[in-house]
Amino acid sequence: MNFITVELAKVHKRESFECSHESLNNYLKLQATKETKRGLAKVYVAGNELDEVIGYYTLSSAELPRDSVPDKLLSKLPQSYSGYPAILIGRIAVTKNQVGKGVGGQLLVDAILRCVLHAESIGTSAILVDPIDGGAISFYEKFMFKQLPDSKRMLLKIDHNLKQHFSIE
Amino acid sequence: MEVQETARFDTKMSTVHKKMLEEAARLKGYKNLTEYVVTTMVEDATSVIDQYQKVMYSVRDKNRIMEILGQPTELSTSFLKASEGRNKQLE
Repeated sequence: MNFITVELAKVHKRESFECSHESLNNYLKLQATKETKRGLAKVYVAGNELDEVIGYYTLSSAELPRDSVPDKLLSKLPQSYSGYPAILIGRIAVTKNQVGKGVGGQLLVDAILRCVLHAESIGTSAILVDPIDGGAISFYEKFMFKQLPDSKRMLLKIDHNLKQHFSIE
Repeated sequence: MEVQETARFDTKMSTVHKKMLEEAARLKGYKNLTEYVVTTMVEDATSVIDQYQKVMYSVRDKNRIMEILGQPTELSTSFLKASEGRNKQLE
C-alpha cells in the first residue's frame, strides 16, 4: 500500500509551515516530535522536493463508550476492554501556499486509509475527528463524517464500502 | 492581537531550588525565571491534559454514535475525487 505521507522525521523542515491556525503551526514545530516519542500520537507528513512540510496529520488511539456501540461490533471485542477502541485523527493541516489545490482532501483520504488498515488489527470500525472550527466541520462532512450533538466530535464508520474502495476486501 | 488577561502566581521554594531554576533558565536561553517556569509548565500541563482528557459523551451523543455505527458509509463525491487526486500523486 502506498501513501502520500511518511512518518515525521528529522529531515523534515517545519519552519516554513504556516496554516491559518497558530496552534496547528506550533504543534508541528514544538510538540510533534515529543508526542511521537512518548507514543501519544503518530505524525504523518507530506513534503515537497526540499523536504519542507506542506501538510500533516496525526493519528492516535481513542475510545468510545461500550454502551454506544451496536452489539454486532462489540462481539468481536475482548470483554476486558473497558471501551470500544477508535482511531482519532487529532489534527490535519495544510500550509498556506498549498491551500485550494486539494491537498487537504488527499491528506484526509491518506489518513482514512491508514485507519482502515489499522482498524483490522485493533478490532474497530470507528474513526474520530475533533473539528477545530466551522470550516473544518463542513470539510469533514464532505468526507462522510457525522457530528455528535454534544461533544461536537465527528465520527466515520469504517465499513465494507470503504474497504472495497481501497481494495482491502 | 488579542490581549490576554493576566493573573499572579506566587510561590516559595528553597534558595537552592531557586538558584537551580535560574541556572537552567539561563542555560536554555530564557530571558528570566518567570518566562522559563511559565513556558515549561504550560507545555507540561498541555501534554498532561491531552493525555488524560477523556471525552465525556452525553446520552444524545451515545445514541448518535449507535446510529452512525449501524448505518453503511456511502462514499461521497468529495471523497472519491480526493482519492483519485491522491492516486495521481502516487503515480
